[in-house]
Amino acid sequence: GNKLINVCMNTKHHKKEPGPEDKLYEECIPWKDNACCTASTSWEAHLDESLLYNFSLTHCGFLTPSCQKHFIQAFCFYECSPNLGPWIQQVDPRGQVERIMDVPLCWEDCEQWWADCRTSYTCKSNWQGGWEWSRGKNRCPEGAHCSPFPHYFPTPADLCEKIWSNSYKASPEHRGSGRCIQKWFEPTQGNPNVAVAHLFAS
Amino acid sequence: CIICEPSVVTELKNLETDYLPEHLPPEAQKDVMKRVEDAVQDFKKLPIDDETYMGAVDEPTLHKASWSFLTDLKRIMDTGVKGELLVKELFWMLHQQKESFARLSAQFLREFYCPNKCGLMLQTLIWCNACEKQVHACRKSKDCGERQVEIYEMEDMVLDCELNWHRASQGLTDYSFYRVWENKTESLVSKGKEPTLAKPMVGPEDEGTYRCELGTVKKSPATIMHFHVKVLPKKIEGETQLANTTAPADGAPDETTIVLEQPSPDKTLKRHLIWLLISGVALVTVGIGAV
Repeated sequence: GNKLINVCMNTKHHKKEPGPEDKLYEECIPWKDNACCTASTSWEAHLDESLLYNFSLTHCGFLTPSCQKHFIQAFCFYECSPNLGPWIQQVDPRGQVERIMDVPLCWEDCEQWWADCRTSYTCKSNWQGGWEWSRGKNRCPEGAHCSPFPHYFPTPADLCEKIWSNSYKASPEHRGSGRCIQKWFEPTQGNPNVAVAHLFAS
Repeated sequence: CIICEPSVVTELKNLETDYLPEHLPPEAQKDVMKRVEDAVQDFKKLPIDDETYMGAVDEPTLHKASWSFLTDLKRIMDTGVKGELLVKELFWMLHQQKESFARLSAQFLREFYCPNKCGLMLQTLIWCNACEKQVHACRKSKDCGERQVEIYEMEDMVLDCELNWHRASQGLTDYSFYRVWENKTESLVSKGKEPTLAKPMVGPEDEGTYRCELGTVKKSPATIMHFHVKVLPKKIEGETQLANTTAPADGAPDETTIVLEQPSPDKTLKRHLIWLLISGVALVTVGIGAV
């Protein structure tokens, strides 16, 4: 079949094949019918210091729950979604064989994420690297001061695109348009990203 | 962070409108008040550190810090101190109060932040930056472990699912007890606010695995605990034996409860009789004494 449709990324945590997972944890439940993540990965996605990436969200104090929720959803999306095919890119085998690039997140997703994190703090605009690692945790490098998110992400597009060095792209399209990806969706309605992946795969 | 407490805001208003005009020259009032407000705002700019300050505290900590600040401010205003001395006292007090807040924040992180050892606790915190009060999820483990329970036939079984942090948690719903059968299917035994499952006069048919789940307003439970119940053959009269405890099956951190041999009904009856006797005798002696 088409290698871009209904596939899992080739990384440490992802399953080989997407399939049903009835015990996914909380924010990852939307993907339970067809997921690339396991139950334990879905639990790890919810922790302040997630062992998935050995990464601490609390490098500048506790994120507000309304802000942290977006990060948990983004981790669930990255670990569980079988609809990333069109945006998976080969990376030199630096431990992680594949990564995603420029996944077009719907306008509302970036807006809401940015709005809910306005009062939380961070010290870097690119979370992918450049951290100081001590006592087993990522800490703010020398001279990088903790400031509210808008200082490092002046606009919603900055947040979506810079935070994980262009894994995501801020799409002007709106939710429900069928032309952008949602990083989360109501478990009761179907997975809207399936059709979008088909569109971008053709 | 204490600016998030309404009483602090009103007291600062009093300082500005009532106290300063009568105790400072007009040209100095605006500048001093501005510096006081900046100093109070500065409380939230403590350096971030896992052990001292993480940008949020719980309500009791905020109340303590605010109360301490208000007491000191009131003490200064009660002395009626004026001019330069007033300004010096104000900023010395603010400096001390900031340190006191740092101590209280460190104590909060050490003793009161997410006290649960397992499961999911919901704790209301206040984020100092914009005074947002939200519920923080303390996720420690999916499961709170196993309990081995041994009980003699015909005695009463009580399975207790309550952990010490449950009372302090927000958003809890009901305790549900399920009987877990051999083929892993479950049937609901009880559901409600009661944290225990009581079964009087157990028999061999009650032996097996029970699962307790404490629900929350979120999609995931606060606590899941398994009880492995073993029914021992009917105790021969006079033979007392401390029920032994086996180590929890999996490594999940938990508090293993020991079920001591419960006093058999006639024993408790005897105790009541003895008590009745003693209190009766005591009453009589008092009576004689009073006459």
